[in-house]
Amino acid sequence: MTTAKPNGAPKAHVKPVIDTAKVEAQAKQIMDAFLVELGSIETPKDFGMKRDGIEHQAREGKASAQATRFRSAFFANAPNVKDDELIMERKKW
Amino acid sequence: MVKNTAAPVAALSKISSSKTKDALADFASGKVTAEERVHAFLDSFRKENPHVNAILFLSGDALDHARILDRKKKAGEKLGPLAGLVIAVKSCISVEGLPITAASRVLEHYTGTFDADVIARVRAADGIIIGMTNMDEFACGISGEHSAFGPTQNPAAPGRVPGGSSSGSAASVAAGFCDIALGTDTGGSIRNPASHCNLVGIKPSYGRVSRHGLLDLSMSLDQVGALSPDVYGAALMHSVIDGHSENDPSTIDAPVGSYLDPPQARLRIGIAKEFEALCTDKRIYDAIMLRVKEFCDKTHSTIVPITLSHVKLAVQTYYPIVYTEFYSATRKYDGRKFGLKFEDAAGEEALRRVLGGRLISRAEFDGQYYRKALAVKQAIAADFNRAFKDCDVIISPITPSLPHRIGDAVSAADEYAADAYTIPANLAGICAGSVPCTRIDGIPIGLQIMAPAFHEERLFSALGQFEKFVK
Repeated sequence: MTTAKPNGAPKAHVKPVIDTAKVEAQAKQIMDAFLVELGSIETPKDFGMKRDGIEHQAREGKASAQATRFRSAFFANAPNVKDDELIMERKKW
Repeated sequence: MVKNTAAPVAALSKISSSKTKDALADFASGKVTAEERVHAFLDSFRKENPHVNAILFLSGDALDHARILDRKKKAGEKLGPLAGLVIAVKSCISVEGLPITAASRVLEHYTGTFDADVIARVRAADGIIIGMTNMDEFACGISGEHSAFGPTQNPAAPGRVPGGSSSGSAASVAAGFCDIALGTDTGGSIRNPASHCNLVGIKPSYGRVSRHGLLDLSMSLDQVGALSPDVYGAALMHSVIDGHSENDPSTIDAPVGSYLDPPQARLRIGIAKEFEALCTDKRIYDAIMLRVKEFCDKTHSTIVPITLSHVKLAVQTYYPIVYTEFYSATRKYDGRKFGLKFEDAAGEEALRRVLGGRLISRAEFDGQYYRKALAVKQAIAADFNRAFKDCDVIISPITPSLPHRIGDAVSAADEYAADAYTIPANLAGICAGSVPCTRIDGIPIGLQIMAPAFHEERLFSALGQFEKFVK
């Protein structure tokens, strides 16, 4: 077993003061600018949406995470456990 | 070399003599013991690290491992290829019993519970792990300034940033705290600090090195690689850590070549016309091109003009992918199992990527940012595949500008642009390396050599030839 010896370097306990709304707005601005620039490249319109003619999304629609098709695909290998019990701490398999 | 029928170059027949070779020879001959070597590094650490801030935590077992190694050697037991060498590890690679902080408040008190695949291989090869290095928080940065443990200094250019995100790994090697360091490279995080700290740094092909035990920044781009004072050290480390692993299904079962004694030949060096426009400091581009021409004259290699028409959009392609995948990767840091909740404790740059990733992943955008970026990524990879039909390797600068002074205000957009030369190799999944080339204003400048995916043998051959030429 290896043990650690702190070297006296400054510790990370001081919480930085960050204006999260500003940071988020900056991030969106950067992403939007990048998307515009990427728009100059012609790429397949349905890239990532389909594979071999079959729709490549597990879910049926944007707001349908409860859709039967999504749930049956997601829980296909779950051994007789109700969906409600599929939280990490209680996972048994 | 693949598709190169030119005669071998006799003058540059082997990777040159090196610091790593000397260290191995001294240990093998009994001139110095492993324990003495570790003591020497620890002395250097105690003297310099309070200023350099390269290593965050020392391993309490390094000396014990060295003594065990010395006993094995005395008993005549067979030793591994890294025997006698001292290794530092980036703080996002899991080492059992050591703090795996990713230089973040989020994981300040988290201790590794297992050895990552690369660490297990280093240990099996008798490498001695000396400690965990500083870095940009969760590998988000190119300067080494985005660490919750404070910035790292550049031992090769005092007052300047060492580059990042493997800042502490590079500075540890440059300051003499270890022989070789492990870093990770998602968009240039090994090659960038290697260039700024006058080292050799390797980004292997995607799928060449196991990512098992790595705290991921972007799962489709991350790779573990070596930082070393010379090509031999990097080649030696990669001959140990490269190869398929059952623990990482993304690794490819491709044969690992002869990195330490790669075949030599005259090179057809691809230079893309798009590279010049990416350089903000023309002195760097001119200096690199001059060196390449001199190299070609000396070795009878040839320059081949190539076209990489999409590389000008590499930065714009890379960040939507990183934002999206990093946002996904950080959902496990919810304050329940691993330290603090990410949004409550992360620094500004890491938070920017996560908040941005959350935004662009929203259902209303229908994945348009990520999908568009993946589509252009494929176009960039196709550019490289076409180019490698006409050349053996592609050469470019590592960074478009010199490393800035520590504390200088740099905007996020400017910081992102600093990886313009290194990101394409990650997007294309090919292998690439940085090798010291020249100095401008006394600051080291590295040169990047890129080779096709899973042609690391060719990469090490070219890096070795160039290293020998520069020396």
